[in-house]
Amino acid sequence: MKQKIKLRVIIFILCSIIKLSYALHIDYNGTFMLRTTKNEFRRDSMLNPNFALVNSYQYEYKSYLNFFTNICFNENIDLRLKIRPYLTKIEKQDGYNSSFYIDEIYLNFYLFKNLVFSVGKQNLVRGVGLSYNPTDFFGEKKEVDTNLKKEEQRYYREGDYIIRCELFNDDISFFTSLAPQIHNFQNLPTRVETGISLMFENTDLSFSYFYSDTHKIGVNISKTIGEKIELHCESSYCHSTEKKLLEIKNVLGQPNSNVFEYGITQTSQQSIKSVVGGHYTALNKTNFIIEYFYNQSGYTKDEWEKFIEIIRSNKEFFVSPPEGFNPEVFKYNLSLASSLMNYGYMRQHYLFVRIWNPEVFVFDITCGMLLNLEDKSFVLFPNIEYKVVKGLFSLVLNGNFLNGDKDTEFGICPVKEYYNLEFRIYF
Amino acid sequence: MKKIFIFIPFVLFLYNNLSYTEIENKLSLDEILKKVDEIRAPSNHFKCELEIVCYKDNKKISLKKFELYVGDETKSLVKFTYPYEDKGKFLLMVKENLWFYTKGTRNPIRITPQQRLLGEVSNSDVARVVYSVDYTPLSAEEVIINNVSMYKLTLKAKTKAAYDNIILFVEKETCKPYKSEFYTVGGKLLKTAYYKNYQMILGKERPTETEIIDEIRKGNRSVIKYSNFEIKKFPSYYFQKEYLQYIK
Repeated sequence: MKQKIKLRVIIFILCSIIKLSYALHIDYNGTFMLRTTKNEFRRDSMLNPNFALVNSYQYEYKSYLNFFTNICFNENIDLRLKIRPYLTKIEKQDGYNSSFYIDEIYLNFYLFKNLVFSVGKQNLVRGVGLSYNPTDFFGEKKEVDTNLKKEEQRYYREGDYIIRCELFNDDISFFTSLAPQIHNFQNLPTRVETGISLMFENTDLSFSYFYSDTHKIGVNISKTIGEKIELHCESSYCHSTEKKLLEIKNVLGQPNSNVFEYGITQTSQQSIKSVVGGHYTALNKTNFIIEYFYNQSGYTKDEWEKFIEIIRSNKEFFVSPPEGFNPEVFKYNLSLASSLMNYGYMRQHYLFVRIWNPEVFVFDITCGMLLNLEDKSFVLFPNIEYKVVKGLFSLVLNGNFLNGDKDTEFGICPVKEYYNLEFRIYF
Repeated sequence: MKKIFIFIPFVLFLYNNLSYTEIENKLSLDEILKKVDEIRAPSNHFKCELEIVCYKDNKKISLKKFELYVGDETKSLVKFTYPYEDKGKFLLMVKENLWFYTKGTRNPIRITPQQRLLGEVSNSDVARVVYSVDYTPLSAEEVIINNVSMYKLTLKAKTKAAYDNIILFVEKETCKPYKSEFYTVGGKLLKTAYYKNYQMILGKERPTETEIIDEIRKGNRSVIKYSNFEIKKFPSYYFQKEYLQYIK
């Protein structure tokens, strides 16, 4: 039903616009990808004892399309469309899973020479950081494809229904975006963001204010120093950030049984999130990127230790349940803990490093690392791209290797490593 | 005491004379550079097409095509048109600041002038077609190359530019650029560019090819071909990074 209404609205808008189109121009680009993923699971993961919680398939085959088109009806109106149809086959499962994401479909109205008014589904992306974007307020809590590079993850995600207005002057621009709550379409509370972007003394500055159920302020700064160094900083202040913790809900059995049913409690606190980093380009084309990020709403040392202790005790009880207890209780507790895991954002201090050279013989080689500075666990993500026919077809091999002790953020993850082999066709 | 009174006016006269010579010399250097720029760029605001071919040991390894929009001399926008992988990408340069943008991402990224566009060609090699915006001529000497009398101009980066120093060889008679040598802060020669294939375009003979030779990785070279020049004025907001998402 919802899909039908969507379709009717789209057709109506298209028909109205086509009537106005006297200088039709269509521009498009995209990528078709075939990807095979091989997963390696940890046998001894505390979050997935005996593979009870996470389905331990090894291979996943995915074909998908990233398609972007810009249809100019005349000099004052254009339509932007970004879609991602998917077809997935998982090992040992019958049939295929398919999904069709319309990331963006919106109209731009160029009202005056320097005023643009947009309406429709839009994926607003903000922030100068690569590994972390605390000012990307509209993108928070969105589902992303973790197989993509960090910075690509936010480009390929579903947008929001937004009305946006942007005013341009020589070195300054003002914007306001409104994402209203729409029954059946957009259930999140109404969100508003307004801000200003300017260039001052060769430095890019951007300030934004966001309001929905809380107030947020965002600042972005970036500049280049000399011919080889780029520096950036992105920060946000949130008046009330949710933090989810596992807390005892019920004592099961005897009062001193030490067996509990857990629940998720939500606390709110003011928080600051920041990322500072830089990019250095060496003469031999090697690029070095380093970023430090701070996430005040992440778990503190005590909260993390408490969280790990809950997981450890429930894993032990699940493997060898105390007499008279059903292991499903412990499985449930573990699944709650699993649902709270947001890898790469659980704690407060992180370091992101990437070394990249686009021309090593015939390969484009990248090696990245995200290090949790508190427990020293890390993820390594190497990526090798070979352009079969330059600019038309390429073959990409990449992997994610999660390392750390059993009680660390990346060491606790049920997946130990995964590899992707991708064939890309550009058009 | 008398000697001092005679000496002071003499020193003042000498100082004034020297300053005058310096200014006069400086102006003429600026003029030479201005003439070079006028040959390379047909106007302060224009549009043209570019094709970059990279070679390794004389074997063609890649080809890219662009459209270049220049506004107000210091502002330029490069639209990537080929290959398909690069379609929808833009490079914006305002003064010495550079941003890279991919259509659909709605988020321009700041990049350094040194980050490479393709092969031996850096971003600013494509986005900037004049020298006088980023470089100051320090000195000139006359040299003979291939029996042609030329000025050998030494250019120094004003603030931050892709290269710290450029040695520019210009034909004395016509001010046509012949070649440029690009140096790092440490004085290391990075690459040499030759301006070739002069053709009559928009009322002047202009180079339609720039061959860039990598002096560090020997055997690597790139050729930039310019075509379809058109004088066109663009609104100022066209060159604003926030506006990139609306460029058609």
